[in-house]
Amino acid sequence: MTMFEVMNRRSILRAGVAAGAGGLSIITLGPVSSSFAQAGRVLKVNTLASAAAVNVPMQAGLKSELAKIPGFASPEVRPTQKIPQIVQEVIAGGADLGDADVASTLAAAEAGADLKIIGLSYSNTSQVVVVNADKTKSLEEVAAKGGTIAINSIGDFMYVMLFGALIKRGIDPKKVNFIEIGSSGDRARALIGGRVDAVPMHIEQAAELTRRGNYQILERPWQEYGNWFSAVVITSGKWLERDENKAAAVATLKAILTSFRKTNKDYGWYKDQLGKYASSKELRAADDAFLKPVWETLTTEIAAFPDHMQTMTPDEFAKIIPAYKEAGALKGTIDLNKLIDRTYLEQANKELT
Amino acid sequence: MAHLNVSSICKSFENTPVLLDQSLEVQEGEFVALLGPSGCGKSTLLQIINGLVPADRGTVVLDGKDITGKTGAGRGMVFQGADLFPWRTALENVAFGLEVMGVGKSERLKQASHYLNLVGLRGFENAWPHQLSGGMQQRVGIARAFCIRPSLLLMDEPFGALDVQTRDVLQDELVRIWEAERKMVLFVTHGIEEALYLADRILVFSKRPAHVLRELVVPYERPRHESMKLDPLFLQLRREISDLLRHDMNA
Amino acid sequence: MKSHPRLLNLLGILLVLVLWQMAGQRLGDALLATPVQVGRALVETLSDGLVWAGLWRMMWQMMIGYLLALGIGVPLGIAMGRIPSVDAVVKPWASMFIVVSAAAIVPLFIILMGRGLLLSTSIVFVVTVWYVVIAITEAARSVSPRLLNVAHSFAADDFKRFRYVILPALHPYLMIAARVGFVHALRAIVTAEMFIGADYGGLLNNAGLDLSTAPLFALIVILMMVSISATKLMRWIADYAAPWYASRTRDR
Repeated sequence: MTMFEVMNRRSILRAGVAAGAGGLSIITLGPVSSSFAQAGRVLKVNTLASAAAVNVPMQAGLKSELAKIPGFASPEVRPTQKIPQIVQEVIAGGADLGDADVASTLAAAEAGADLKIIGLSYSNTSQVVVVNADKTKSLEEVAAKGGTIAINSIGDFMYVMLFGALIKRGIDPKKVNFIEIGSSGDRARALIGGRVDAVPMHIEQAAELTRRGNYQILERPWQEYGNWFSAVVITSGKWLERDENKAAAVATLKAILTSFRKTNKDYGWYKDQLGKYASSKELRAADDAFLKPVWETLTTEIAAFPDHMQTMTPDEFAKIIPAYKEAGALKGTIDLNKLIDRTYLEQANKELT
Repeated sequence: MAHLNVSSICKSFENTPVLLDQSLEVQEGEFVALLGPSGCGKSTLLQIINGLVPADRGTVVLDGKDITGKTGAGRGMVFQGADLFPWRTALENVAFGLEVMGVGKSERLKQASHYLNLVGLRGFENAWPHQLSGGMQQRVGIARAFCIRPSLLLMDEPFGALDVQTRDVLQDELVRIWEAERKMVLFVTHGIEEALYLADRILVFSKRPAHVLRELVVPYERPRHESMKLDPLFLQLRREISDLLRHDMNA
Repeated sequence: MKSHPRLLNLLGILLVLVLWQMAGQRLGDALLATPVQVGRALVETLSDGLVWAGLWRMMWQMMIGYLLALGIGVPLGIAMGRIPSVDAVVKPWASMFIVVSAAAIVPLFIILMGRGLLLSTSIVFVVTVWYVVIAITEAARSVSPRLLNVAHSFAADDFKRFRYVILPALHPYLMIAARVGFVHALRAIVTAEMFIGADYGGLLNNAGLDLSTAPLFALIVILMMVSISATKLMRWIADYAAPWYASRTRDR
């Protein structure tokens, strides 16, 4: 639980002020005291509420690496429970940068929002579809009996990915009931309780679940698609107009790239970061027997953390648009060349060599 | 010299006349009962004299001062249901009027304690109203009215909600206290026997709009005793008033 | 005689715990952790500094919004209960806003005011103040007109009637509004913090990710204990401050 470390000093300062000066003054003194406490700019970055194994390099980049770059302090990383909220706050100017899901970013951009994708928070996806093998043998079977699949929310990347995967297998997705269940922990519980037939979850959660019964992975979407974008680093075009923000964008990407490279090269470093930044207690305490295979899959088979984010091109993104259209999440009128801005990524790569 | 002069009071509620040109006088030390059927307007007259209800016309003059439409000033009121403040102890309830007047704490509690003793509630100073019986609550109500030392005591069917035994006891108590501190009393009741037993003078009111059917001076000396209720004259007066009221109701 | 209902209380709790234990053992800790597992998780959670820090930050942020809600809600409620024109203006808003749950407004508020103290304070205030307003309005309206008449006939002016009748008559309802408001305030701050993954709400989110439900239940049990001890404390203060009301309700 890392946001505590980031916010600790600030909040303690605030509490001290509160005791002395009463409620209202904190609102004005809060930011002042934080800039005294830390040298350098504090970026506000919205991320998903939970940091799973696949999110950890992004978290580590922000929390361990960014403050090493001169002029930047450890950012205010702000976990966000509702995925679309990440994009909304970036558009509203409440956050500098967002670690957003691709679906809500694409949908907002298509609707005319002034958004730019400037980096990847991880490439591809580590989501897999898990079933209780005692009850369910195949996805075809789920569709045939009108079964239920739990996802985070209708229209998000997970939904679209499943939708596309079902179509590729020749299954009519309309025969499946998709229901929204908030957290991946709750989705896993719904599967254990037999309330749903299949659940997409991160690969390390699937590994954990297999210890509790005859649970099996029926579908690995990254195998179907080759590369399936799921989370990207975004900001608004307006934010990028100012020079200090351009510098901040490059610095942030450098921090993330550094973390990606360390992750790919050094299992020990990755494990260490996981122990610090993973949301789940079970994951933080995981042993090598559990973690090493997960790390191998993520870094090699899935290639979730490309050293140069080289997969972030309009052409690569164009490959996933048809699935979004089929799922009804996009009309397909989106201009990817305008949305994806490689300027800052290229600058960051240059500065890192 | 204490004196109450109420003249030419008129009062209507939404075009229904309740009181038409009513006047009355009370002399120092006089106990006057206002007797009449329920809802005839005698309580309204009492409220007008108390200042809680404004009159459409007419004046109320107490001890030479025009107090029409004003509360307080020389009047103490005993309400039908005692209406004690539940958040005040018996003693604090009695002291309420003095507290409103701004009398200091030790002084007002001393006075209140005196009147609480007078109504026979020594030892109940710190009791909450809900811990007292109905009769005890009304004793507190009486003490509360006496405690501000009014020249005129207004009582609105104060024993109406009590059982017969308690009422008889309280009637005697009231007379005993009143004789210790004689002041003018206006006592609203619909009990003929109660009026005859307590009052020096009775004003018998008609049904609405109220006017005085008969004024009657009670021909008994004080102190009075329970036995007078069996006196032939008492019974005769009681029947006369009863017939008068019944006749008025059917008119 | 006096310990008898307590004993029944205890037996009731024990019975529920036994049933819970049996159900938990059948369902497994991923679906329903047993009381024993939750107890173990509780000890572990409480010995973790993060929980205390998160709880502390959440509580003082909540207190600001809550005290504001009382400070504004109580006078507003009294005004609405006693002055018909104020009631006519405010009542429609109050009855509309009281049905708005924290979960419905948090996303909008995050966009409007960011994620700082302003957010938590506003959410707690907006969710709590209307419960206080409605409770106090009803109480102020139902202040006995007969007692007001008594005070009036003893020549108490408007201010003295307010001071000697309305305020003391409201006192028990103030304490009730404060208790009910506290529970709503606590629920609001937990909801808000779960949205922004901060402090205690963040801990609840993260506990939800674990396959075992024991850590989550432990956090919920801590919240319950906070809520119960706060309302108990307030009840005790209320009884101390208004012994007449305490003694009346006890006698019933």
